[in-house]
Amino acid sequence: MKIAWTIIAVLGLCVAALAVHIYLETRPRADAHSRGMARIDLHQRIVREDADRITAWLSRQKGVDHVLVNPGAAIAVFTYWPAKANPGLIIRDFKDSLPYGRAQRYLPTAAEVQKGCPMTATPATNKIYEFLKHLF
Amino acid sequence: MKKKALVASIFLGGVMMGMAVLTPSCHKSSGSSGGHTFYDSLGGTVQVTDPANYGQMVEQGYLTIRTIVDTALVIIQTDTLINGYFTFMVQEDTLNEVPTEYDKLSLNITNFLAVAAGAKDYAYTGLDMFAAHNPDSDSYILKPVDSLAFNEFAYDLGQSAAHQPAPYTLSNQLISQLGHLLYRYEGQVVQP
Repeated sequence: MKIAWTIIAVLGLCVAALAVHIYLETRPRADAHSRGMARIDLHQRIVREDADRITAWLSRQKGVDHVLVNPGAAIAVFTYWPAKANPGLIIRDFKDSLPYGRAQRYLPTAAEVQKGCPMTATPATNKIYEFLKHLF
Repeated sequence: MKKKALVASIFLGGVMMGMAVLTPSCHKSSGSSGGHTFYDSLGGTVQVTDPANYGQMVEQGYLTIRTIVDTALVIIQTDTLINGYFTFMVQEDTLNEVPTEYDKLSLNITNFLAVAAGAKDYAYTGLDMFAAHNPDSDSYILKPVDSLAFNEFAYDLGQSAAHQPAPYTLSNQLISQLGHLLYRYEGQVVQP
């Protein structure tokens, strides 16, 4: 009886170790091709020259990939590599460096996120398929 | 005997050259039925270096679509007519949170368009367009998408396609085909 409990305990430990190993190996990590997006709402009227200046400034920041400024909407958007750039710091430096004091990083509320595009919704079966595809 | 062999060689050479000329130049087509697809027009299955993934290869058709989609998502985020649908893309406030919402949306739309264009080596595993945009079956969508939003989405995607630098530049004909491809799904996306 004691031997049986020992075997079960060892097997249990092996399964737990395997689960930890699988988690560590397959958890999402910031890699070279992953990109995030950040948005700055300027809250003031801007013209084309402002848009060009903002674009040039953001493009010079380390880890920034693509920049677009819409002067009509007074919105600046940039994509960045999460492994290289911290959007919060970039936007803080932006406010310190350029004369757009009312500029704010736009972060949506939970309610706004709920109204999002459904193209990221994936059926549970497909999530399992994606996970297995990722593993093998 | 020598003369006969020479004539035979010339004849055989002629036949082979004729076959080479008459046989259309081929590369592996993405259409299993052999028909030329929109995906083929975008570069098809030709393998090229993936500029976003060091050391990996990607099909030219897929890369073209992904490039258009990635730029379009940035355009959409500055577009006040529809960026309300896409605010989740800018919600990440934590470093190293991957895949990001931008990654996921880019992948899903690219896979969807690639498969719709005729790609065979990629799969779209998201909800179908009707289910994805139906508030009754998808909790992500709180209210139906109207025609105005759909048109604006198509316009922004077209803007992206029209302003891609080489080697992703698309002719007006291909941009028009991209529009036709999108509007095939209008009836499923825009629901009463």
